[in-house]
Amino acid sequence: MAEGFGNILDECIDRLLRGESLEQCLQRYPEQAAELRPLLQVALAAQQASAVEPRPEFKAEARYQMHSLLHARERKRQPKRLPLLGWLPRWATIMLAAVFVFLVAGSGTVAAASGSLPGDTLYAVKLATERVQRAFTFSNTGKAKLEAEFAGRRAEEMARIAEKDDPEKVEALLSRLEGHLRQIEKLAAKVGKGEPGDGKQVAALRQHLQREAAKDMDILGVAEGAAPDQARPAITSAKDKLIQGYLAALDTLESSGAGG
Amino acid sequence: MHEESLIQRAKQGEPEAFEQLYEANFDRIYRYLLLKVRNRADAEDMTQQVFLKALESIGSFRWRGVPFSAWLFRIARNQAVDYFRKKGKQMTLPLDEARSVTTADFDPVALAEQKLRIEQLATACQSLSEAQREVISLRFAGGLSVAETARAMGKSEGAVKVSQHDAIVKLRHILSSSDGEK
Repeated sequence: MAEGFGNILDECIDRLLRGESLEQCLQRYPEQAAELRPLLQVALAAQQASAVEPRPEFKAEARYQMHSLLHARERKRQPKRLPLLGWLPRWATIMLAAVFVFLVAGSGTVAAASGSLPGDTLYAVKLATERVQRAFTFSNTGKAKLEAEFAGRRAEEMARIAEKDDPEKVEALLSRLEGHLRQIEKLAAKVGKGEPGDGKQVAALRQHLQREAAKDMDILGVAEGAAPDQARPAITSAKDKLIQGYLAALDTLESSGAGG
Repeated sequence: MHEESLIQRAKQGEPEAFEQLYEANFDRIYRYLLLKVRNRADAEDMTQQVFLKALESIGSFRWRGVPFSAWLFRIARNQAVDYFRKKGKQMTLPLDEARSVTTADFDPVALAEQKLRIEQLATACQSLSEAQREVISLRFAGGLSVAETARAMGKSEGAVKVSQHDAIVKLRHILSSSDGEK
């Protein structure tokens, strides 16, 4: 291919891609028109064949998911303003604080178990502690936040286990993570259908879930980059499930009635 | 808004800035991936993955005259490579419900013709070399300029022009002989 002809062909293709007609292009280069025409006809056919557009429903859903994720990340960067239990009645705050102290600060074993991983002796204690916390949490909002916290723990555990190249344990954690996400969605539906005037609780839960989703996505994103090849697909799958799970919960919260 | 300034704002975590970059590139990334993988559902998943990865890594993007689109298409290209490597898929799956921007909505005849055209193009592209196929995908489905295509592929503009010319000549032979068979 002569360099000059290549440049002319390229310029004409650019013009076609910008909407100029074939004949207009050929008029610019009458001496090369005979050679250019069949090639530009193919270029035009290729451009027309490629001119497909995404389904509008897919585009709308993808845009919504990206919008939610971007704003969740933005909120995460903003300084925390709300006291942790500020939305609860005073008696419930005191009771929860007492349970919290009893469960976490009052037991050396429980504290030691908090950093354990699947396969460690203390991991069963960690899961048992979570069951107790679940049993002593009475509001649906609190339960949803607790499940989100547990989902975050599973994400952290996956990240740490992945480094050890143990795909079976990563898969097991993925299954637990999915369980937490299902619970969050169920609880979000209950919170969303709450009494009129529950709007503040719904808004607080929405913000909480968005923050947790962004935090966990960051953890898994870093883990995905660092994971050995065998463990990476499970981490990638966990990221997908995590974002889908949280988006489903947020959708449920919005659509169940009290949201907004 | 200048792209460099948009990228800077997106790197600082401004959602609206990233959303503008997303809107400007979403359709063409989808078209590129659709032509590569020839399956709508997979192309949709991969398009979302491209933008999630871009969001995760935008902090590492350095503006040195490299267009953002070229960087995005590199991510998309890596996605397609991973897709074929991990799943061991061949490009033989049918395209379904491809919608044309040039045909009227809900016109079944026009949609069928569009589907046939992109099937023909995708099939014909399989006879091209990897580099030629990539140039066709980036130039016509992705709508990139030669300079952007060169950046996305890590090649010189001259090499891209040669691949483009050779690919078009080859496609002409393939498409004209397939027309002759009908």
